[in-house]
Amino acid sequence: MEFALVFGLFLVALMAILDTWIWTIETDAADASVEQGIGVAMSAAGSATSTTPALTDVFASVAPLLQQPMLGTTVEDWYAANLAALRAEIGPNACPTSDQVADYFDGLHSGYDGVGHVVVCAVNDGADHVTVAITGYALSVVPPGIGPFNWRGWGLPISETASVNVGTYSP
Amino acid sequence: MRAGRGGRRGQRAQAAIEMALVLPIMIVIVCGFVGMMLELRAENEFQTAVDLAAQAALVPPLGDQAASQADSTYAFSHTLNPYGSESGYLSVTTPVSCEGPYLEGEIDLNAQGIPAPVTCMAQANLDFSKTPISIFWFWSIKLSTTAEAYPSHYRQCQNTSGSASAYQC
Repeated sequence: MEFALVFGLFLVALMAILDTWIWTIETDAADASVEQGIGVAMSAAGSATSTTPALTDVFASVAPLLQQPMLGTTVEDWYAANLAALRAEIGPNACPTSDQVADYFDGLHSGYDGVGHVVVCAVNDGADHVTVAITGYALSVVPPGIGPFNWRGWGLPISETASVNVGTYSP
Repeated sequence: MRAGRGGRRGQRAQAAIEMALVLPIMIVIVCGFVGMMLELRAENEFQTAVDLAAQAALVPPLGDQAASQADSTYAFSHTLNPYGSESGYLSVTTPVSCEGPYLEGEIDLNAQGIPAPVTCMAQANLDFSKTPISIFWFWSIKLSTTAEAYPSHYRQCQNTSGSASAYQC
């Protein structure tokens, strides 16, 4: 009886520690990727004096940074063909939230409850701001129904966003 | 019989004492670890926000101090916790502010021909008092971050005529 109680508590504590550790690694990688993504998007597409941010170049630049620290979670390109339906739903000037990403992949029956996918999104918000976001649910060891808030089973929410004014650079 | 009942009572009491000893230690270890991870995480996010603010300060034309400050403030506030995911324990005490020759309309080159950077700094408090982690982390932590960004070698023009800058239009 005593052993069962202590062992149960020990397991809960171990899972909490493991998840926090995983979440810290993943969100730190997402932070670094968002920062790099903003730098790439601001570097302007086409020519040095272009005023068009290089939104579609962001994924190729940040994916190598994200793949490994995401520990088995798939990193998706916002501009990939398989996300066309989600793009149409969200619109051209916004990035999806973690739950919108998970709901979308849940609809495709990919991953438990849509968990295991994060999307690298870079958009112009229509008001001269470039927004880069990494959102979705990364894989974790939180069993269904135990995570805090409305977390999905076996998933940790990842939501990192940065936004800057569109760089024109020209005088 | 009497000795047996006493023995079982003794075992239960011992188990209760052991539990009372082990449980707080486990809670402190878990809270300490979770707090440490959240602290690292918040520090990283804060640093990212200041880094991007410094980069954003270089987007407006040379010498446009108001626009540079507005852009860096926007980048800082929209990078640090834009959806409130860390509200409750990270609060900004000194909003981002940037300085450097670039903002004054000058580009100072050093001996290697590298322009002087724009330097941005901000401060925040990390306070877990509204969370269960405060069982262990009952004190607040002051975060102070500085970031530098260098003007690029192209695209920047000086507005003032007669400048000797290598970056003159």
